[in-house]
Amino acid sequence: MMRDKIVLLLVIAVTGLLFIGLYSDVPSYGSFPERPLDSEIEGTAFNSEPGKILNSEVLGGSGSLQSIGQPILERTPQSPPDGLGIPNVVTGVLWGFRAYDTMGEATVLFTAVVSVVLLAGHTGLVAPCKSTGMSVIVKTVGRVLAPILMLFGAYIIMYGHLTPGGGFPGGVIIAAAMTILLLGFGLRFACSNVGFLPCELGEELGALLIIFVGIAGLLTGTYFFQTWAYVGELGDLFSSLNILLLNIAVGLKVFGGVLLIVYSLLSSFGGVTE
Amino acid sequence: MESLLLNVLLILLFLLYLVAVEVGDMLYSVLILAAGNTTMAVVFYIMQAPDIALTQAAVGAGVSTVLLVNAINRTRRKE
Repeated sequence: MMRDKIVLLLVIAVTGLLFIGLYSDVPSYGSFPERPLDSEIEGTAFNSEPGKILNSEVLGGSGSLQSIGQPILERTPQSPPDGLGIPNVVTGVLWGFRAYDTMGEATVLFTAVVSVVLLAGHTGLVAPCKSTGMSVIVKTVGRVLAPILMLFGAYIIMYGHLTPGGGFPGGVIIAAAMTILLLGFGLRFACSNVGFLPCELGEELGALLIIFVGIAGLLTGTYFFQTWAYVGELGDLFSSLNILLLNIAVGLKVFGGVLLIVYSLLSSFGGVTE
Repeated sequence: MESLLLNVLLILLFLLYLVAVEVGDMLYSVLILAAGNTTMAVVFYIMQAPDIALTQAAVGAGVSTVLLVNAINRTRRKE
């Protein structure tokens, strides 16, 4: 027992010393230190033969890692066809340039939700529970806080292409508001308002809507997830309908998925004991 | 100034997670973990990633706490 503790302490001490030793290499926050470009270092991908072709033809010859991100930052806050037509660069990368990756992440979430529901034995029925919720303080606070949080989540989803946020944070915030109601008033109350079926519908319709928007880009344009519905000016709410639809879809999906996980885990194995 | 605030928050984060590991009562551990996740959200916000900060606050302090408290409720509270 004592020997195990000493070994553990040694491992932690060595790891900590490594971290402290590496800390001097970390640039201070907010500074961009001068470092050689990747094309100037021998043996990197940019200096090999395919890398040189990529460097000279696609990237315009500069070839550092920063210059890969540079066209995205320059292009995004503009109207099509030069950019995506949204001011939020992060959402532009997520749903414009890397929409296929984000669809893969949505698939990961879908798989996780399906696994949890399969494992936790979702019956569609809430097991009988004696609980009628927590104290009057929690109920009052939840009654006031939950609608505001839901509105905030809807705002985060709707304005995901203009301000920081998007479908995932918005969906989780709405699910957290439902979780507050669930804590305050009990699982039966929450399930009688937003049951299993709306959660499943949200999860599946969201996934379908993502695929539909992608295929619509394929039908109207040239490639999967092409920006096909662009209306309005840069910065308007309905400026980039494509990305707005995708945000709403992933918001529905995340709301349904997270709430389904919470419901399944709380109602499984003989109901809520709380 | 910003860097100082960031360092203070990171030290606070370390202390919170250390206490969360060391404290004997699992319920306190989960609550301190939620506090640590909120601090993490502030750190993300200072690092100019408000998207991640929103998600971290909602998932880390909201949903995961409920699930962990439910897990403690079905097992033992004391370590």
